[in-house]
Amino acid sequence: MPRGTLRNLTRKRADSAAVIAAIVEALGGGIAIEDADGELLVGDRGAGAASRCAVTLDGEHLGWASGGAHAPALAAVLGHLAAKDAERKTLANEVLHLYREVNLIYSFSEKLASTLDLDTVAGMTLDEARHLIAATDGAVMILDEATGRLRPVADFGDVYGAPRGPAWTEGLFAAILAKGQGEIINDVHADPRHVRNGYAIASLICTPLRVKERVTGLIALSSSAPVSYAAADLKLLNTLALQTASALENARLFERTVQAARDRERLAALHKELEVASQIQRAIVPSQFPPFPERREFEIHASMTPAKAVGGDFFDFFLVDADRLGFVIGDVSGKGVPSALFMAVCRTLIKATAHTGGSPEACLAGVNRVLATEGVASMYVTVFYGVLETRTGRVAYCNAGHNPPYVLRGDGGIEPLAQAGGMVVGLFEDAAYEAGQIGLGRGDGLFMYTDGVTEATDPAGEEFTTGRLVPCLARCRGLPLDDVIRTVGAEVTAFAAGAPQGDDITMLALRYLG
Amino acid sequence: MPPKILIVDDEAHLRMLIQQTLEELEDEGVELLTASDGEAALEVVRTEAPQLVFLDVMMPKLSGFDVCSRVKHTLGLKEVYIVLLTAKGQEFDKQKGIEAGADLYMTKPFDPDALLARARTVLGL
Repeated sequence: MPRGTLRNLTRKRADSAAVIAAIVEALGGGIAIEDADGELLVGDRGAGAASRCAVTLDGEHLGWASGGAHAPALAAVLGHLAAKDAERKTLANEVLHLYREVNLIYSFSEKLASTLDLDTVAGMTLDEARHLIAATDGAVMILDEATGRLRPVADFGDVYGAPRGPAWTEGLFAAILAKGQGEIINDVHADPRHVRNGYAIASLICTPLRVKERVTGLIALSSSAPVSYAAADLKLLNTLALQTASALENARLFERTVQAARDRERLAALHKELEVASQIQRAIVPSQFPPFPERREFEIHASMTPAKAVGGDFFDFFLVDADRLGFVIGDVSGKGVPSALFMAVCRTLIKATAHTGGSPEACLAGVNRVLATEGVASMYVTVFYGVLETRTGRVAYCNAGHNPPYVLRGDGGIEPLAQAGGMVVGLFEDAAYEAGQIGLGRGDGLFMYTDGVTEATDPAGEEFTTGRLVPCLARCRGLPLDDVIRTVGAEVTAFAAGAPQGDDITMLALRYLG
Repeated sequence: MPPKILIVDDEAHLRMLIQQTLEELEDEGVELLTASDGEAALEVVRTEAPQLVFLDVMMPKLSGFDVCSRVKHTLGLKEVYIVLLTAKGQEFDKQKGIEAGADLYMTKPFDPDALLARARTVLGL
C-alpha cells in the first residue's frame, strides 16, 4: 500500500474526508492525524502525542492517530477507511485491466482491418503480443495444409526464424495443435511432451489460431530464461489469436485470389503469344491459291488445321527452276510450341536446300545431317519431298518416314505411291535416302496427307484410317483439288462428330495437267 | 500548490477508470479532481485551477465543447491544457474542437498508457 494513502484519504475532495471531518468535529478537537513521516494531515500538532496510535493496513504502517482516549478508535476507523479505499482501488484496477483488453481488441482489430497482407498481419500480431507479454522469442506460425508443417510467417528473437528451426510440428507444439487449446508451460524442460532440440526455450506460452473449428496455426511466445507466465497472459494471447486468425485467413484468401488473378493474366499473355505464333505459322506456309495461276501444266492445293494454336505439320511448294516444281509435306514429332519451332526450322532448311537444285534424296540427306548434328535431341520430322518435271509429268521423290501418298489416276484408279526414301529426318546423322520415280499422265495426281487425317478419332475412339480415306478420294474423282481437300476435311470432321482434334490435319494435292 | 488534474465525465465508471489510470500520479503528489457534469467542471476549474482537464464531449446540459470554450475564452484560462474525449465511431467535429480551444482530443475507449503519458508530459513529470 503506498505511503500516500492517509494523505489521499484526508484530502478535502476525497469521499472519506467528509467522514473524517465529521469524526474530528464530534470528538471536539484535540486530535491529530499524521502520515508515516510524521507530517500533520488533520488536527493540532500538540494533540496528545503521548497517546498516539499507529494506523496500519495489512501490517503496513500508514501513519498516526492522536487524541487521548479516542486515539485507538480513530486509528481503527482510519485503518478501516484505508482498507475500503484499497478494496475500491483493487476493484478499479481489475476494471481498468478489462478496459485495457477492450481497448486492445478495439485498436488491434482496427489495425488488422487496414491490411490484407499476410506478413503484415502476422507482424502486427507479434508486435502487439510482445508488447503485452514478456518474451525473448516469438512467432506466428501457419499450418501448411499440403505438408501438415508449421511455417513461421513472422518471428522475433533467435529461435523461431532459425534456418534449421526445431521441428515445430513435434512435441509441445504438436500437442497444442492437436488439442486446439492454448497452454502455459513455465518449465518446458520438465514437460514430458518436450522434444529436445537445442533451442533456448525455458518457458512457453502458446495458443492456436482457429477459424471456426479449424486450427490454422499457432502464436508462440517464449523466454530463454525461466519466467512465470500467468493465466491473464494466456487470456490476452487468446484474445489476440482470435482477432488474428480471421485476419490471417482473409489475408491468405486474398493472396490466393491475387495469385489466381496473376495466373490468369499470365495465361492470357501466353495465349496472346500463342495466337501470334499461330499467325506467324500460318503466314509461313503458302496461303495463296492457285499459287501459280500462269502455269497451266499443273494444279496444286493444300490446307493445314493445327490441333493446338500452333502445330508441327507443314507443307510447301516452290518452283526449283522454270521446269521443276518442288512440293513437300512434313510432320514434326510432338505438338505445340516446340514442334512448331522445329517445323519452322525444317521447312526453311528444306526450301533452302531444294533451291540448290539437288535431287530429293540428296536434299533430305543434307537436311538430315544438319538436324541430326545440330537439332534438338529426340525431335524428328517425317517428310515427303517430290519434284515434278512440268514438261514430262515425271516425279522424283523421297519419302523419309512419312505416310505414303496416294496416286489419283485420271481414270479413277487410286494406288499408294511405291515406297522409296529412308528414315525420318533428324535422328541419325548417317541415315541413307533413296529416290523413287513415277510418271504422271495428264489428269493424274498425288494426294499427300499427315497422320492427323487417318488417325482422327470419333467419340468412341475409333480411327478414320485409310479404309475411309481411299473411298472418300474415289468419290472425289474429277473434282477440282480445292474441292477434293475440302471434301476429305469435311468427311473427317463429320466422322469425329465433335471429338477433340488430337493432331494437326494437313493435306497437299497435286495434279498434272500436261 | 500541488499539480491538479480534473476528470470530467457524466459516466461514473469512466471517471473511475481515468482516475485509476492516473493513480500513480497521486503518489507523486498530483491531486485528482472529478466532476460529473459541465457546470460542476466549470466550478472546479474556477476554484481549484487545475493544469490539465480530461473532458468528455457528450454530456447533458453543458457539452464538452461549451465547457472548453468557457474555460479558454470566457474565463480566459488559456494555460489550462484541455483534452477532449470523444467516443470512437462518433462523429467528432474537429473544427468545433479547434474553435472551442481544445489542445488535444483522444478517443474512447482510450489507451490507458497514452492517457497517462500525456498527463505526465503536460505536467512535466
